[in-house]
Amino acid sequence: MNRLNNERGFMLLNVVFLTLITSVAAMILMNAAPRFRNPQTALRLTAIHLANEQLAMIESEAAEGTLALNYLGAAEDLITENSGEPITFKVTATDKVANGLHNVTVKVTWTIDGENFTVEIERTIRVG
Amino acid sequence: MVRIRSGGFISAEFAIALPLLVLVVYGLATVGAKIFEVGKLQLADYVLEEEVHDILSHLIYDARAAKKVEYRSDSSMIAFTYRTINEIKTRRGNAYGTEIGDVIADKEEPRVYLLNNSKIYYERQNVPVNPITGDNYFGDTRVTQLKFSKLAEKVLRVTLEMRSEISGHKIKISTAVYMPGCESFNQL
Repeated sequence: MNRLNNERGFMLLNVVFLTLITSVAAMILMNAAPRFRNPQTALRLTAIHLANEQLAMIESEAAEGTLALNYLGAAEDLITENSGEPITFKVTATDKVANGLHNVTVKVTWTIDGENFTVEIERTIRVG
Repeated sequence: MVRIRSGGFISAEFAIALPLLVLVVYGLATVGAKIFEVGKLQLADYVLEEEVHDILSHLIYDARAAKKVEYRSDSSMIAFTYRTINEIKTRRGNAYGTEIGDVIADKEEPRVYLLNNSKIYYERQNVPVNPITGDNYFGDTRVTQLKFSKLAEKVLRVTLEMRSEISGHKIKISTAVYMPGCESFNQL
């Protein structure tokens, strides 16, 4: 009555099918994982270039002899709409002197939904 | 060999597995389509961000090495001429550097960026060569705004806004460059 030994090939084929289906599903789902999180690349990039702007201004002031650490760039660059709604950046700079070299660190921070994000860039600047 | 009573197992197998299979395939197809749609947009955005960053890095690099900077008032062209150089002969070849020691370029020839038809080109000998933005299969982009201005003495400010033709997203970035060796900086 139970003549499953006739169906051995079919049963083996089932194993192959199930493996294929599972691997395709795993492939698709694992592809989805990194795509759905938002790494905020556009905002980060804007912050990096804002820090660059601040460093350029500090450098230009420093060439004339004074190291100014307040925000010196264009005021309109502090606000970006790259993520849909306007976001305001906060720029701070700190100076660390070692062996007569000024190492200026510019820190750009912004907030989205109560969460803080930071980009920090450091450059050696010659004064005078 | 003739099988007389086979078929029961196969039909039972299909009766159980086929609806399940159809459901699983339908689910995967919808999720897959969604993922590929999201992936397409994400890829287009990556290209957009990469191009903006790339153009600005080129401009920063060239501006910092510039001796003479000229830009058109409508910002459709900017030309950087590198600082003069001293040739330094080494055993392995020739290196070039200024008196303050940074290696810059081997020839005094302007590097020209040209905005034409919403794309940025290099210009060599008054001929625009291949565009350095746009024409990307995964994320064609357009330059919607390019603006050069003088933020302070020896400080060039660049504003670049680009839009992806595929995702429709825009990115606008401003940056400033201090040009230590700049001797003439003017608007044409």
